[in-house]
Amino acid sequence: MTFRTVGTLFADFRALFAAALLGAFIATPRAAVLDAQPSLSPTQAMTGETIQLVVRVSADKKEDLPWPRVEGLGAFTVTKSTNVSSGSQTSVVNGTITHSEYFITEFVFNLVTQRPGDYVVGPIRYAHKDFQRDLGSATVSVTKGDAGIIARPTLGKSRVYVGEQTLYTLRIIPKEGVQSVNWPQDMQKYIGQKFFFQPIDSTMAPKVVTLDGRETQVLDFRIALFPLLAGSSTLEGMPVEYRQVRRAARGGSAADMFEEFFGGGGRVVTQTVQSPSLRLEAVPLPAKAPEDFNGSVGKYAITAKLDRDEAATGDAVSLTVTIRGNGQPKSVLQPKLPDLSRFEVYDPEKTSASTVEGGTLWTTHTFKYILLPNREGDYDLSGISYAYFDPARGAYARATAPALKLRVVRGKGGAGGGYAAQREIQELGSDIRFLKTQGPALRNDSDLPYHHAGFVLLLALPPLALVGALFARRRRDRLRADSALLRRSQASKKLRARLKTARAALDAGNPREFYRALSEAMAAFASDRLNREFRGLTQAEARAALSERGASPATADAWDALLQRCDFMLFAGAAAAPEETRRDLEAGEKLLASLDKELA
Amino acid sequence: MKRATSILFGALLLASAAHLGAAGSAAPDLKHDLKAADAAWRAGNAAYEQGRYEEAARDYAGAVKAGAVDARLYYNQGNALFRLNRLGESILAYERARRLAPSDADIAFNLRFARSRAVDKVPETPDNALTRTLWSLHAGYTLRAGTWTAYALWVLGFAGLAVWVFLGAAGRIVAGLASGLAFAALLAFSPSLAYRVHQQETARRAVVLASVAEVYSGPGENQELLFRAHEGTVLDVVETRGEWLSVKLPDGRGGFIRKTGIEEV
Repeated sequence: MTFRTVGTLFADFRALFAAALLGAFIATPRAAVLDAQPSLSPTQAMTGETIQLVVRVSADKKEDLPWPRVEGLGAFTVTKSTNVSSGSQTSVVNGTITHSEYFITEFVFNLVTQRPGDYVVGPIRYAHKDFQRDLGSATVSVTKGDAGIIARPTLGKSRVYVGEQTLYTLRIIPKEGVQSVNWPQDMQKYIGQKFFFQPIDSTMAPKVVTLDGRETQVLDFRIALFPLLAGSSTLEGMPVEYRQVRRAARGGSAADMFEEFFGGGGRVVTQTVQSPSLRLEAVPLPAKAPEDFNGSVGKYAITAKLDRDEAATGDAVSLTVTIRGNGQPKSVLQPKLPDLSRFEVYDPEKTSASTVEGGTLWTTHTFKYILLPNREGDYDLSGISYAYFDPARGAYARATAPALKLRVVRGKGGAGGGYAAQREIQELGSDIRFLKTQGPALRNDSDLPYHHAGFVLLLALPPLALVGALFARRRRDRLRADSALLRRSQASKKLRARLKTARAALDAGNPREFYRALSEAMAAFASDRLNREFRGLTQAEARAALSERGASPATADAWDALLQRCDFMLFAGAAAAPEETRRDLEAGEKLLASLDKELA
Repeated sequence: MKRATSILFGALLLASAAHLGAAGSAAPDLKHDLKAADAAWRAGNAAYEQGRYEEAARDYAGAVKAGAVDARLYYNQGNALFRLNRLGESILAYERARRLAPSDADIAFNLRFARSRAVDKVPETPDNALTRTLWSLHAGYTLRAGTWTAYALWVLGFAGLAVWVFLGAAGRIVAGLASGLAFAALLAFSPSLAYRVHQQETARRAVVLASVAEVYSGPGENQELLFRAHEGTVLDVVETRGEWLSVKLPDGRGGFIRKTGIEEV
């Protein structure tokens, strides 16, 4: 079966396809692929005309289906595409209503050939899971025909530096009957990865030019090309699709005659013309590029301006830098700025705009910086520049903006008035704090003072001291009120002092002074203890006074005898041996000790 | 009488000083070899600074074993254990350091940092400026310093009274005022100190060291499982029942947990 037969039998393909689909649903309701049908149109074509082979595959569910296998396409340039659509079917069988959904995938092959001849397209086979079907083949007759357009590409410069702009112009010269011309959508595919490009013409406006002495209508399509790599490159020809009305030739088919009669004067065909390829040589840039060179090649100019000449510290000042050039637009980065250490500089806002002037693409890049001056002063903001490569001179160059002046005065707010407003410190990370390594040697801090009994004793000391103070105060008050008690309480202390004087005299070898001191000590002690003056008393009165206050008779006698001896040694001028004198001292001490106890 | 009083005071002072002096000095037994502990601590510090955290943790453990109980030691030990990703043990060490020096900002920071890495996020008791101020006053001294401060106020108060007994009218005003101020300060300080002592001697906290510890409604695994506490979670210990501890979380939840897998601060 050939497609010509198919085309005759299935003139209304949709109806027949639906019938086939219904049959297939009933026959194999559970199959993934229900049916596959091919169609080919036209079967008679001219060179460059697009012939479309469509294989429609229906399935009971939506899924990615495999492409059909089609042989005999070697003579054609083939482009492929798919379309998916869906539909539903309701049927009544023996009173039972069933509703089902189906999906149709169209596999489209667009075939173009430039060589005339008869070509067999097929056999065509479709296989998926359990579905396998041979869909037959068809014969296509391609006759030679004149192309409806002439595509003529040119390059502005066929030898440029890497990054330098060159103009690619594809001129279309349409012939009679051409209704429309379409550019290829995927330009990158034909231009390749070796170039950066940007179309210059957004629409194709026909214009009239003089060609070979005749005014001719043409369509120009221009692209700005920038080679990215050094070396020789080929710009492949581009397929240009056009639609043209063709009148039927004598002896044409009945269908063509029918279309010419009812279709307005001829058959509309869609054809494709391949433009010739071109060669381009990209020259590498010389070495020793400036440090801030970013790869911009062409002509560049730079301007800069401030939004004011004077500002206060902390105020925002806008610096706008504009770089205009015809190099690759993406190569332009930020310009080189002068020393702005006295300013807080924010990242610039960048905008770009392209224009076409004289067949060249120019791009203007605008960088808007916000500067916050930190300190007052007069600033010279000269040195804003941009490095580029000038292909006309074959050397690196630098575009420099005119100098700018800015006066900064002291602002009203802020510490010191000369600095910008403070900001929060940005936290960049977090971690535990570091070791503690300073201080005295390690201790045992669990050993606290109150764990020890000694601390309790220490706690008791202050109250005890207070009690002692109270007792001492009381005693002091009693002594102050009773002079006899005071004299009596101090008698022993005074006696010790007097005996010490006596002993000193004895040690000094002065017996007279010794006996005088001893006599004084004995009389004074008795006076103090008894609160009665003993000087001037007779011996009998003194003895009686002592006995009366508790002294034993023996003690009183001894006291009397020692006192008499002292008087004797003092007034009789008798000389006593040292041993005798010392015995008298010891006897006196013993006697006074006894008397102290007895008079207490 | 006077002589006897002096002797009594002297004896008391000597006994107290001797007792406290003996307690303060390093004991000769190995359990309290503070000199060795100090050396181990310094070695641990050096190892830590060179990034040898395993070795630092060993040295710090040795210092603890030698008898040192010092906030700096526990703090550094917590740092080393944190670096080794032993989160539960590091939190335990930080808690021990905080118990000794509650007002230390570094300890509080690192403890908070470590606890933020724990699985269980237990909400802390909300505070305000007033409670923060009161807490900083309450926790702003060590127990040792607090004890001696209270004692100094005690002595000053009684000394003022003793002087007051002896002085004339003019001197009595000064002595009485000094004594009154000292006793007033002691009165104000005592509740804080008493609470601190109470906390030190009776309050019990524990840290979960196991990756997960289960908390039951009673002391046994046949009881209802209430919740699971993860490594680093700090629990208040209420009481001990055999192998089980009755614990509470700051948010009020509580239950019984096995002793294994947790360690008291």
